[in-house]
Amino acid sequence: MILWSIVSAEDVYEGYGDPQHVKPLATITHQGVTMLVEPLGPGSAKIHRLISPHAADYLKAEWQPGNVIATEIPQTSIGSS
Amino acid sequence: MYQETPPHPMEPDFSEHPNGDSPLHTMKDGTVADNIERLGQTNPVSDESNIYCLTIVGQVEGHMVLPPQNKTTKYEHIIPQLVAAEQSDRIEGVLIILNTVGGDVEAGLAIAEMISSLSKPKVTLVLGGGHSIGVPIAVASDYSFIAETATMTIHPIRLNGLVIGVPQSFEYLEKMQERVTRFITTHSRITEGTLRELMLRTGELARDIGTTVVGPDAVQYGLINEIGGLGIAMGKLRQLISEYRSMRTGVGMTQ
Repeated sequence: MILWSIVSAEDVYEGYGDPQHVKPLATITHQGVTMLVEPLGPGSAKIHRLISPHAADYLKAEWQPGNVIATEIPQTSIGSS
Repeated sequence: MYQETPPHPMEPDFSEHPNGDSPLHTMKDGTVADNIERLGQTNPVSDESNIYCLTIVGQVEGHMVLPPQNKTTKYEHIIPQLVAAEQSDRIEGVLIILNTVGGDVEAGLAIAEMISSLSKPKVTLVLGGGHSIGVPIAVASDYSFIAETATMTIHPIRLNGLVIGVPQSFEYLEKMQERVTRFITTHSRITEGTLRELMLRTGELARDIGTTVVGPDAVQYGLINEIGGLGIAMGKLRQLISEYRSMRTGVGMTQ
């Protein structure tokens, strides 16, 4: 990858690969759509990314990355992705 | 000549539509009826805008997840949203707001190519900064604006990580530079010579070669179409949408 930025590469990559910054994400199916979410606690998760072939899903306000959704996360689905 | 002004995207339109044959109006009325039926209220969704606003801020993030001190715009979010904007019947135009420090070349070029190949009218507005890989994104639209105080840094592409000191490294770097340069020159009025001259200028930047181009200079060099802010950019987008509509209506009549 080529980083082309006015910010120096040292500043951008500072702490790169630090395990404490790597959040374990879970792959879940919420209302029929696959999502990569960050588990926040029992019954809630923060959306990191949608994986959907329906383009309109990406415009839904409640499914924008960063939004918290109410969902149960099976323990088996958690792993760093 | 099609004279109807586009509906204001931020104001709910409660007037009666004498020309109820417009697909937008039909869709809106149908939605209200559905909402009354399902939810018992007329309009729970206040935003019925026909303009899709996309913001590209911080670092443009590509194949690698950057550490958390970076504010990033991720390509996996932007790309499907642009697909959705293209596919949606409701969205008639896209406004792209930039305040970016640059970032991943592959991701930036992917976003720029997607914006330029979008069939709907699109306008870009550079606020604050549109540096490095932000430049091809800024010029990718039908019409570009830059705020008077905004800047764009034109500087050469760089290679990160292990670089082997062989001629091939230079050729590779030049090839990477070439694809960005070609995109910028084909999507704006700037000539390749001027762009190269700006890119290789010494004595302007403290830690790099290149040029910081401030708003009016970006217009003078032909990189950006016009100086402007949010209101002007939105007005231009509405005008393009109206022209696009009348063009499509015209095509329909000749068939």
